[in-house]
Amino acid sequence: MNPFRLVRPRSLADAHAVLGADPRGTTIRAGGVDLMDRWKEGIDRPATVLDLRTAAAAEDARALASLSATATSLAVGALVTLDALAETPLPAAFAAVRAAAGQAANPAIRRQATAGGNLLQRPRCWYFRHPDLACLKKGGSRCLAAEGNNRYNAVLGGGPSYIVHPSSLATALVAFDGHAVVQASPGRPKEIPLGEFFVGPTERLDAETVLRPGEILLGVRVSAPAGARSAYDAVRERRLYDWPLVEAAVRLRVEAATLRDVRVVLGQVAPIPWRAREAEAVLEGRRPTPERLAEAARAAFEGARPLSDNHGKIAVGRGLVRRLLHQVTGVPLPA
Amino acid sequence: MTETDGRTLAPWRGALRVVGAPIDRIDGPAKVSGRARYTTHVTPPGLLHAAVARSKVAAGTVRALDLSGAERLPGVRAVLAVAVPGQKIRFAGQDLAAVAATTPEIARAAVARIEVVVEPTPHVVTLDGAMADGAPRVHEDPVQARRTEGDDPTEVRGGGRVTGNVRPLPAFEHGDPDRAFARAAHVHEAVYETPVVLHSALEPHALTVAWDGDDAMTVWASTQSIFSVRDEMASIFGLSPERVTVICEHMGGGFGAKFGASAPGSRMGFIAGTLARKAGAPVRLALDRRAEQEVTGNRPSSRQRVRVAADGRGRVVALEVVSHGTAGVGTGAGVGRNAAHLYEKIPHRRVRAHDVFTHAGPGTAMRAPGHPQGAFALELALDELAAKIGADPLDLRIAHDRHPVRRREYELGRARFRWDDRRARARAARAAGARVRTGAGVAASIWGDFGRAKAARVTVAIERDGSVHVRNGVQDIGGGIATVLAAVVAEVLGRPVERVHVRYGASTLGRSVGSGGSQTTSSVAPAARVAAERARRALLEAVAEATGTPPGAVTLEAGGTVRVGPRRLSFEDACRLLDDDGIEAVGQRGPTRSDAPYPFPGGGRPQIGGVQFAAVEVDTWTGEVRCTHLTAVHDCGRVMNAKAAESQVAGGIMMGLGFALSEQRQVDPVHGRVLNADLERYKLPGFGELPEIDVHFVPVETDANETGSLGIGEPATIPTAAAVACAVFDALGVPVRTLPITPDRVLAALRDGRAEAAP
Amino acid sequence: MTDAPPPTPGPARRLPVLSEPPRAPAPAHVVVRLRVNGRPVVTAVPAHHTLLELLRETLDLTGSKQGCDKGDCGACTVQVDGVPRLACLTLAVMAEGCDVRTVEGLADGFDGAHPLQDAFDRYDAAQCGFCTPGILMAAEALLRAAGRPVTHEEVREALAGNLCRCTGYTKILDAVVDASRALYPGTMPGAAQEGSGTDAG
Repeated sequence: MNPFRLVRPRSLADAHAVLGADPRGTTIRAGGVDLMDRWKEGIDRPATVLDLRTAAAAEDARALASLSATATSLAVGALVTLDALAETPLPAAFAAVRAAAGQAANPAIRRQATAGGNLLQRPRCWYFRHPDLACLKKGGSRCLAAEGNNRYNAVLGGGPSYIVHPSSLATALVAFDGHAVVQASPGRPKEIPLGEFFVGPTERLDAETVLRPGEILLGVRVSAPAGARSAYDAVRERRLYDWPLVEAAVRLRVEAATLRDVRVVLGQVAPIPWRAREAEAVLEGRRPTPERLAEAARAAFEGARPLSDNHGKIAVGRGLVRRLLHQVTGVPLPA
Repeated sequence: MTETDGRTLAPWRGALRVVGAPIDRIDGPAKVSGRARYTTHVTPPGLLHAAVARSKVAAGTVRALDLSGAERLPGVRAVLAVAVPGQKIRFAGQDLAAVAATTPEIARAAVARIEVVVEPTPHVVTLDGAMADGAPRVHEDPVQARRTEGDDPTEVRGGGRVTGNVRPLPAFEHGDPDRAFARAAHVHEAVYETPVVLHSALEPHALTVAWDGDDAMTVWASTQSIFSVRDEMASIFGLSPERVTVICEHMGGGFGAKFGASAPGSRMGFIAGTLARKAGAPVRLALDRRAEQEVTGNRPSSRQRVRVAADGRGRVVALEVVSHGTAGVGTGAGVGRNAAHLYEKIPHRRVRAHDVFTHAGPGTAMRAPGHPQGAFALELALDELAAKIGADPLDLRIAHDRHPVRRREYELGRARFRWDDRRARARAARAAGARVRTGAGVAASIWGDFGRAKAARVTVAIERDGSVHVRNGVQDIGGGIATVLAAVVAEVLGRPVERVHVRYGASTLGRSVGSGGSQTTSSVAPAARVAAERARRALLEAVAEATGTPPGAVTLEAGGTVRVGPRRLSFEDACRLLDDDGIEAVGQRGPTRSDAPYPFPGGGRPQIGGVQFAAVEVDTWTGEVRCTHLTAVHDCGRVMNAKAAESQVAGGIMMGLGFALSEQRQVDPVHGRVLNADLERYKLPGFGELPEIDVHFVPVETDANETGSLGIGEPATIPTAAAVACAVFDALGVPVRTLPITPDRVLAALRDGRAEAAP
Repeated sequence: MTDAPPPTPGPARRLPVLSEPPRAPAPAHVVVRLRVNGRPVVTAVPAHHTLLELLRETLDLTGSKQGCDKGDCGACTVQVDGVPRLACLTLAVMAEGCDVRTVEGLADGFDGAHPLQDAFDRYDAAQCGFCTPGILMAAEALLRAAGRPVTHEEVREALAGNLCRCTGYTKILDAVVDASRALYPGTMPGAAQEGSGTDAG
């Protein structure tokens, strides 16, 4: 690991002052889980590390560490740990968020990892993480996964890079309307719709969100229609501690026996949390019959374009979405 | 004195007082308190830390090395070119150069400043690629098979002529398979594949070398074979083995990758020893996880074309396995002897295996080399044949197995596992087209007793204060041999286990064996019994002499009381009669004297059986597979420590589950790099994968050696993946013929199965 | 977009910079004050060093193991203020002011050994022993937090991040459950669990 200068701000204003001095050379640290991995592999070598957590007690940083919810809204501060998110009882509408946080990584990591860090973590693609390989996202000329071993890479929305977005929490949050709350300098933060916050490789290669150097993610605010319910689940090669092969989050409500406000989001299949709009269209305003749910699950991967080694994600993903739709709609699962 | 090699020792019969009971391991308190010293905890004064520059390309020729950047870095004490210009690079991760520095961090920084020019040449890392016409040759010259103590000790050394990258292993043929296949009523043929998997001991390889003058050194090593390390270091540096002291107090797992002073793909002993000499200070070389997963050995892959045939009456008449696998630049991709020797009642059998060289880190022995791969293909193929002819897989196995103990194990397992119920339930769910299915499978193990005569010299000493001491230079890799030594000596001398002090883990404590081939217990425990019996006799003789009693009138009773004519002395009081030197007796194991209960192929030694039954649950929508229950019925002669034996089996099962469901090394075909040289995407099974495990031992009395003990470490992992694969087949009605059985493969098999079933 | 004012220019005020810019190869050290197994420790560490490096190399507390150094194996698990942490993913400076407990301190306050250590011995829950300290520290935190006997499933969940290559886990599971019963005799497993498991808020 490369030596760096560690700065511990006492307020957000402090943090902005440090960031302003050298926005590109300063890395913001929250839980530090993903950062540590990148530093140890030598993928990132920051000159300055800003420990955001020391600012959290300040008056101007209240939002950072707070977690609050009503029946239809949820605000998650960037410094809220995944563990806290998973252990805090949340309204039923946000069950998907809780489940995604609770299934991520393992208990020790969940206690350290923060919501903000999780949303901003860099790709887990093994080419990106390899210290000796220069992939497209590290300044190389092409995506090494596209021509290499791409078992865990994108089947939807890929190109020119085929990373998948690593954040399970993002998959769950994108199932709701909401915003990322971002502060570029002391003062009122800006709100970026979640649908625009995550960006794929056609827009950006050096990051997976629109966040710019010097900007601080304060947290995320999402809302749900009254009476909404949600669920998240994943298929893993190991049960309790593994990156999902495919994951999905569904939000909807049932009104007069028909499905409304349906949102289906797929994770670990695309460079961003992937709205499966085709699946949503199949379900919106319809009665949830087993056949309809199966059709929606098929539609979720309608536009998939697998690479050489990852076509299996499509069938697995369809099975997962189908099972999840049964669970969230209450249509009994066959034995 | 014939008793020295135990030839006159009466075999143990029936239950014993200490041996075979559930005994707490004697190293337990050190391990649970954090006091246990592993290799990297030893810090001789002035210790330097080594790091190794490794090749980033899979094939090429070294053109130039510039070490000056490293040499100039403050804190660097020695720099070493391991590769020389003109040398071939055959796998990514190969040693290029090394440094020793005052801190690990400086050593790593120095390595980053070493510049090595490697002219890349075409490489090939896949089996298909390596077997294709015009594939780059991995080895230009004839290849010497690398062997370790963990290898299948009966395999013939040689092999056929290398063609391209393909090297045939000695073929096995019994009967006339071609004729039998031509006449058979039913033939099943399919291809089965297993991936390269990695040992992944929690403790990476580590070695510390301290020179003592020019002609002696002390080596601390995380090793499965203290004496292999000693002999190899002596050979590398031209020293007398007696001048090399090797110490391994505790080590964090090996599974076949930790024999000798070098890791299979890295000359660790040479590097650390040379750097230490250059720097004039002790040097520690501890690998990081990436190097551990890339260069320290692996279980070779396999692609097995299996043909199996039955006659019209349901008898299996022919079996053929043609296998190709890659051990990277190394050898040893055979598939064990399951196919050749497990089902001896199949009259016609043929096995042809081949090493296929690729530009990847060398394979090496890994817990039952060849066998888990071979078992998987053979057993699943048998089940597919059984399905074709409407036979019950368990009945079919029993009908073709001659081993009396294994046959009994099948029957015991049938009841314990509730085989018939589970199979019936699976059949019903399958017939109903259920979303979540269950399945049951069974598979067997074949292994031999490779215990060695005179390979271990165990010393038992009795002091005047009544204390009892055992000394031997064996390493305890976690199997619990130290505790077994205490138990055996306690048994003979009538002492409690906790009153027997065992010293082990150093080459100064007496010659011993490497822990490979499941031979540690059956090589060392008998020597301990022989030594203890000698010590007992010497004690009684000394007491007789001191008390003026006729020798025959002094006896040792259970509990350690010494009977002297009508008088009874406590063990301690009896020992007070010894002179100052006390008693010291050395014992060695005699030759293997029996092949009971059933001979291993080739004869002369017992065959070890073992069967495992797996129950799985499969979600046919998502392809998720979970092993829910595993019944293991094994034999290992006389069990020495009931707790440790059970632990060995449980550990073997989990390793087998990893092989079945989640583990596979992933290599980039373009750059030849291991992509999951970590414990993140290299997926060891965790607590979530643990099924309900039921371990049962069938006691076997064998006079093969003085303790009747046989091995269990390797047999324990042989059948697991095979049983799981058979269970998945039972659940789905279609086989998944490639390991690991991941969700995508399950769904692909179901899809292919439906396509086949469709008109 | 935000209408916030531009950042204050210039050296507004002195920030609590705890380490100096890197001067390779010897980075500046930061003074850290913490308690380790109840004893106060004051030491200087480079800002980029991990808690695991501090424990093993500076303090010679080698019970905590380095298995992967990337948070994947759990062998380095220690407790920071009573909570299990992966010492390899924790910067040493982050332990400033904290109470760090390692396996070497597990038996403190007990007669010879913690009930978990006893149970591990009796159940043969350690083979090579390399993963054992990390598992013990994760398990102890679980038992303390539960305050009652735990179930097998709870142990699985709590130890999901701890890998073991030797034992096959089953005896570890049994040992932890048994130790919880020894620690909390007379209480029922799951007794304090009511209310959890529902998503209603």
